[in-house]
Amino acid sequence: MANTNNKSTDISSSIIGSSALHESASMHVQGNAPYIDDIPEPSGTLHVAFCLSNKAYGKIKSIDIDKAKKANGVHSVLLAEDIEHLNIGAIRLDEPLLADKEVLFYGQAVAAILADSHEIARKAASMVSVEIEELEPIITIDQAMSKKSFLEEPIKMSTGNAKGAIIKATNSIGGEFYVGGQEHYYLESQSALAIPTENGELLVHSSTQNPSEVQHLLAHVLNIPQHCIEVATRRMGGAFGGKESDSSQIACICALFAQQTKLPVKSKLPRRDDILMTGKRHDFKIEYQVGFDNKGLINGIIIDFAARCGYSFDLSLAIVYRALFHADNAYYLPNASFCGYMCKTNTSSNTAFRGFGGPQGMLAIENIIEEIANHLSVDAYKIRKLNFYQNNSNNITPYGQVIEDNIINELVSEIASDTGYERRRKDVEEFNNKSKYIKKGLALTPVKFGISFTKKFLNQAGALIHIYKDGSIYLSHGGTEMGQGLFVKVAQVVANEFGVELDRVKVSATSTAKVPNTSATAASSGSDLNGMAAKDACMRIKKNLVAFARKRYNIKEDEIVYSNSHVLLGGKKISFNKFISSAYFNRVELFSNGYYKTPKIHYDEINAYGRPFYYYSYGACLSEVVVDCLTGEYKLTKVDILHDVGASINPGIDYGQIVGGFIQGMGWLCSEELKWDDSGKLLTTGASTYKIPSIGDTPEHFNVKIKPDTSNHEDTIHKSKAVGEPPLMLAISVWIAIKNAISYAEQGRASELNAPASFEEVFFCLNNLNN
Amino acid sequence: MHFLFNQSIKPVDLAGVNPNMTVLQWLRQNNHNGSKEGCAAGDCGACTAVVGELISTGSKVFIEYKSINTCIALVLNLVGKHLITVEGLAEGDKLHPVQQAMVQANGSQCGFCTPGFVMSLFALYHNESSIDLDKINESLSGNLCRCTGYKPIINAAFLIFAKKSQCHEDFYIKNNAKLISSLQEINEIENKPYCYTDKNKKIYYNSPIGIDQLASIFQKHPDAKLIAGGSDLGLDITQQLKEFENIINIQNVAEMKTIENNNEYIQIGAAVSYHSAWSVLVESFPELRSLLLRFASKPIRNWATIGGNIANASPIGDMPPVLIALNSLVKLRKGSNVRKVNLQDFFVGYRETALKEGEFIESILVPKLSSNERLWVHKISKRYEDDISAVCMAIKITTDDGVLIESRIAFGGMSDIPKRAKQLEKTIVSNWTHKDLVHKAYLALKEDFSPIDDVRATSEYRLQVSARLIEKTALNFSSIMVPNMAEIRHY
Ligand SMILES: Cc1cc2nc3c(=O)[nH]c(=O)nc-3n(C[C@H](O)[C@H](O)[C@H](O)COP(=O)(O)OP(=O)(O)OC[C@H]3O[C@@H](n4cnc5c(N)ncnc54)[C@H](O)[C@@H]3O)c2cc1C
Ligand code: FES
Ligand code: FES
Repeated sequence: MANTNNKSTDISSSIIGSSALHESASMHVQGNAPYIDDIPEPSGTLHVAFCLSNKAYGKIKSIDIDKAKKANGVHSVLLAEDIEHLNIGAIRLDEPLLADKEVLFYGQAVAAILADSHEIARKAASMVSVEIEELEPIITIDQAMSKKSFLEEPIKMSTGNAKGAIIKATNSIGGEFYVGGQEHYYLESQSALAIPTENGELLVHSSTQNPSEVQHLLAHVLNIPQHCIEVATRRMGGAFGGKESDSSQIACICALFAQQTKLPVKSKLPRRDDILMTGKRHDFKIEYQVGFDNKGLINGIIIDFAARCGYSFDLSLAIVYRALFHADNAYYLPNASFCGYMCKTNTSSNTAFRGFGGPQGMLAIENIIEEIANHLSVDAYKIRKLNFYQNNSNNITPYGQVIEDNIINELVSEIASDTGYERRRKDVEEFNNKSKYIKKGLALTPVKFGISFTKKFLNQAGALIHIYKDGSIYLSHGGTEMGQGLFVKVAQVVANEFGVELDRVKVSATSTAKVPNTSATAASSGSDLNGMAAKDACMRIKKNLVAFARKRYNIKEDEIVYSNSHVLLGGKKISFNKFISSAYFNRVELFSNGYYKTPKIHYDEINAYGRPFYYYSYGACLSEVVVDCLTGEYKLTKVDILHDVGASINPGIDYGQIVGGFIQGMGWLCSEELKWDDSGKLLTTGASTYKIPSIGDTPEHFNVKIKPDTSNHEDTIHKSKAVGEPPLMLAISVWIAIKNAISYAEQGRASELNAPASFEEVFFCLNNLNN
Repeated sequence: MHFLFNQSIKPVDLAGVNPNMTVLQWLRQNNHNGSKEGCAAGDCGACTAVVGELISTGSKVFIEYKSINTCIALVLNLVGKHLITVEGLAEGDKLHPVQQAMVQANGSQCGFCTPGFVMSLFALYHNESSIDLDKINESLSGNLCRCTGYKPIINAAFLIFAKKSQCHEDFYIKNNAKLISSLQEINEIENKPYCYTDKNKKIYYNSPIGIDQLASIFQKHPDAKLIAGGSDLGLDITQQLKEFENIINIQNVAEMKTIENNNEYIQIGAAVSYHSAWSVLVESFPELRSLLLRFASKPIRNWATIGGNIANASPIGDMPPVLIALNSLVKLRKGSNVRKVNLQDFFVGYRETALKEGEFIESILVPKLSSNERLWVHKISKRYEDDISAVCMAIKITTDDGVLIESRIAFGGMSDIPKRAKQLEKTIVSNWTHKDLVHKAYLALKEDFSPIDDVRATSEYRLQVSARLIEKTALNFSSIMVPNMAEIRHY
């Protein structure tokens, strides 16, 4: 069935690939794009605040809520014992909404207070006193490993004979290093507003990437059918994975109170509570052994990943899997053995964060390559090129997927020649030879990132399109808008199909009442999945229109062309509005759902084998740093990026994702350091102590190029590629460049560098006055 | 109790508000939801708004527009001023040039930080006629964005100025004269004591405009809380959930807003903001520029005071070590009594000062350097912009014929108070050019201090990096320049 009937030209061809603005841009700059806390409160709205555990692990002996309850303006106090269906969770129901008999991490919610105002609720929360009999907590990865405290049996992935190959190899080295976690620090903290509607039903506004999951957990907690609850998400003030599963708890508590009181109930977490209660990027301890020849070709490799997962299951299994899936990055590893440990600890439950384990896996192999280079005293760039996947051979990943779309060789050669890599390397070496206290470091690292949810069933999406009688189009789909520009991209797809201007397409708030059973907007899949589903919905409507037009105008399918807000019908040209209105009067169905599921993917978890990814996204980054060897301080001076987004639907939006992802990744590896004390108390609970990049950290020399004239090997929406997560890993080059600078200063000490490379971390690689 | 709000020429009355209420709380309670709360601690800038203040210098009267963090500023401190929020920029449907530029440059993604950036850019638009990257970074140093990586916002800032000459004047420029007279009017009638009552609670607020008035009120109510910029005090309210029963705003005390600058010393009134003290300080001590740029962020510097930094007596405040190294004095006043205390004796214990009940800091006296003296200042923190010091070191040396004969070194972050390193001072005098200066400095520092391990640094890092900073200073003294990483962008 050729869809010749669906030609769309002019505007359409310019809409796809145009840098249409973010759909809310003009509202953002006027402050009138409402987030949940800005929605006018329905009268009678009450507010929730939480009382948090101040111990990492212990038995709850008593909870004294008297004082809080009696405080002026307090309505009620909720404890675990008051909640019948207490447990929620993304995969397993192992997270009590409020601590039940025991506390499992510092910052776990113990009680929820309902009051007239946010301030009153918070003050009352501080009046609750909880008596806890402390038990010895497991906080660090080392503690969990030595006590074998795991969520699950370790997961394994292997190919060839890694051990044998390492033994046989001419050279072998081993080591370990630590990669820190990362707080999301979305600017809008977790928030929810639950509004009782009628007959025990609820409308819940939730700042979530996953409205369907929130809906399903609400139904479970409230013990009512899912159809009694509508969850709506218009926009989030940032999410980055932190609102994939961590937004449910606060929504459930608000809804429970709303169900009890029959009044609207709202909560927005104070920053400190948000940081304490919710999960972060997993930190990892990584141990490796690698065997290689004298040129640096890797013969065999063994890597053990131990991830701190926190007290509950959440998404940790899939995250650790994704770390293993990316431990090859862009390198062919014929003999590889990877193992992932999911450490159960008395810390908040670590969760999704842009890259979802991938960045940690990738950092591991990039660090190992750098170690090989230092061992052989050759430029790591050469070793990278030597080990890259090739096109017709050396193209099978450790998990058995044949890489069909490899462009890493040409992409890296292109950026190397664009930036004059060889000359830059020479300059750095010459500089370092002459400079005693200041050293430069340079690194060019690749990114290959697998696109698809590794859980197959999640790779499906729905959309719903209405065309109203006036020709305006209303688009609903299952994806959520968190700033990444998904709404405008999907709107572009739809406008393109009907050959109309973009502002004719309005994207609705994401709602479980419009599209059911959606997957989280995550895994960079937003526009791939929802763009396709929306296109499918367009096609279905167009099919109805074709049938009508053929009869009405007596023309053939391929004589209908949508263009410039008009429809060409054979020799006739009428406005889109007129066409739609006439279709309506001729009883044509002008709305349709659409559906998409990603083809080709399959994965066998038991044998760690299959094709988990539909395709890969590629990129490369050259970073240059200068390090003050006296203080450990450094500055990122130059960044050049070449990144593959297939055939971009919206280069303006994609550019924003690349730049933003890179800086966020840089924060993870440089200044963002989570710190706990020995008792398991998280110390970095605000932006005053947890330092995400600020404006001056953006390098002055910052060239970002979208790889021109590329396409997706697979049949994705307009041949584009996902862009949400992959650019974050471009920042690995910054950390490697710092390591490179250290190796120029102190041969051998570079191995000691962990992530993040805080100034103190770098300092102690270079200094020790005690010796 | 009036102030001007956005484009309305009619003043807003604040009668009836709790003196503990922040500007952001007031805005949001009154459904002006454009300004966002990202942290309620002055760290993120999502709440940034611009305050216009009437300035009269001789015959010139004008409004100075400065960005502030509304989440930690008290709303009553706005009395007599002009508050502009993100809702006040567009004229009808027409976006303000800074808004247009942000849209055009893809300056927003999730948009939550955007109102704050727009307001910082608006302040920049009003205060600068030309632009460069330094100015952009400085003016946006208090705005965090987690989405964009800042580059598009930097592009937007350049765009504003590329087009500025072609732009029509914005509402506030066009209506400048009207706004000035409106501000003059409300300023004339203000300055009465205020009492807020709620059920069985009474909360007092005073905003004296003269120092005698302040002295007498504070003597009568020594339990009152003085507030200057509020960048420390505001956090007590939003983070510790404290409610003060009596607040005295010292921001409008005329005598304490003055700066005296002569050949021997600078005298800075305790209510002078960093913003206002900037040029005098940097002129007299060019070495301070880099520290001042890294002191908090632009909006904090716009309101916060050196007096507040000293009175707050935090062991990690940045100005105390500098001022101690410079041998500064503080002028304290209680009732009609005035006394001078050497700043090094002002800090008596962890967050304890020599201030007596009802006594306050009137001004700070900073002696200038003589021709044989030099000053260096180093700040170590996790991030260059807007971060609290792990270590702040100020070192003043005296030379005789090019030879170091005396030093005065003070540290923040090394002890429970800002403190001199007396052992180190001695050590460097005899070892300034010694090849193993760094180890000697390290040993001396270990005698002077036993710093703590905390969230910002380990004890060992504090000690060792301080020794290296001494080495770095000595290198610099002997003309071996090791650049300050915070200051370079390319190398
Ligand atoms: C985001 C952020 C970043 C910061 N960064 C830095 C930094 O980099 N370096 C640094 O040193 N500090 C920093 N601070 C702390 C703070 O900004 C400074 O200490 C500032 O100088 C305080 O001045 P203020 O006028 O705001 O004080 P306020 O908060 O008004 O007052 C502080 C205390 O001093 C008392 N007080 C004020 N004036 C007087 C007076 N004249 N006499 C007696 N008592 C008085 C008040 O009662 C109060 O207890 C930061 C704060 C924030 C919120
Ligand atoms: S809300 Fe973060 S600075 Fe005010
Ligand atoms: S646009 Fe999301 S925080 Fe700046």
